[in-house]
Amino acid sequence: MRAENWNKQEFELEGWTVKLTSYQIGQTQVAEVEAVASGAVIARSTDQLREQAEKTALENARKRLLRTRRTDFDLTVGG
Amino acid sequence: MSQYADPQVLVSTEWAEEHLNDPTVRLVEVDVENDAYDQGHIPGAIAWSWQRELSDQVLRDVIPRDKFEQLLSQTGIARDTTVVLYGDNNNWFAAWAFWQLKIYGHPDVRLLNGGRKKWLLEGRELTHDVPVFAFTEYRAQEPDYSLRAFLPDVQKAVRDKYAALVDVRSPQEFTGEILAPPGLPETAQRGGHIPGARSIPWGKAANEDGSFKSFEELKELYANEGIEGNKPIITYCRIGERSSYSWFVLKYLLGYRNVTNYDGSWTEWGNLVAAPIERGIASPLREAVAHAG
Repeated sequence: MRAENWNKQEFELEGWTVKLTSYQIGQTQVAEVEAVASGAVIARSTDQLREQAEKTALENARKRLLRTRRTDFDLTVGG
Repeated sequence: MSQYADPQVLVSTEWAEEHLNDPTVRLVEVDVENDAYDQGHIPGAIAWSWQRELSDQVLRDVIPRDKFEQLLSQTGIARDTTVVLYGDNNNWFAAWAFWQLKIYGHPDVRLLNGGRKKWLLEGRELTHDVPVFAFTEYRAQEPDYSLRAFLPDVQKAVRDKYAALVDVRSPQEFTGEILAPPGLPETAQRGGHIPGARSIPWGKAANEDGSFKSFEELKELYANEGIEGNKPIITYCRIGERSSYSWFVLKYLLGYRNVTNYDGSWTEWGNLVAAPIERGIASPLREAVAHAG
């Protein structure tokens, strides 16, 4: 078996750019969500149905991204 | 195009495919999350968990020598086995495992260029079969900590500037906008970077398919930030795996001799009481902004 039937989308999720990649390995649909800023896959899911795999991966990614806080200091000032 | 300084430490996906049945080669997948291996892996590959098998979770350390010997023995690896490591997230933890195998002196360890990502993208064969290998009696060397930076080394680098510090995290982590990569656990009390560090995110060394950029591109990438191998280099990130990736690039692909990985990284420095940090953009850029203003 091989990874095939690739699909890639990039969009905003909870204020972060993410890349949703889905593909099929054998009878299993795999979906992965990568946070583009870090290049890290932050959620992965499998299902018999691609839509469900993508939905679950995105839900998990959303939960994780919601926990990422941004600080509020002036970035042009060092120290 | 120039060759990497030490091309022996890197194998292509073609090479790996040609050696799937080579008993002298052992493929090992090391992922951020272990379910990737279960979804399908390179035929003949075994999996190591970076958390359970490659970390001492009590000491917060690399595994001790006896555990290392046990791990390699039970996965059928002998001193003369060629170990080829690969994994997800562009080989983050595969590079971290590579660093540990070098610390314990395994003679022939290599990275699969492009890792799991490239193998999948190229539509190469995958399996669910988990191989079992005969036990060996692996004996490791004493750990070579010249490959590792500890806190006093980094403190000395900040104080005396004897070494260049390379922060390989994302720009948002470097400036202090966020405490951890988006979607990953926050493990530091403060955001920012170690004073004097240069921001060269690990991902800038990778092509879209996960493979490493060319020698010339890598040399320029680091040279543009003043990293040219003329003094010791210390790489760091949050917990030490992304910095292993950049450590690999600097030490083996560019051939800079004195490169160490500070695996304590931001989770150590960012939590230290009374340790100085910098926030915002890197110092020369900050000066340019100030002058422009």
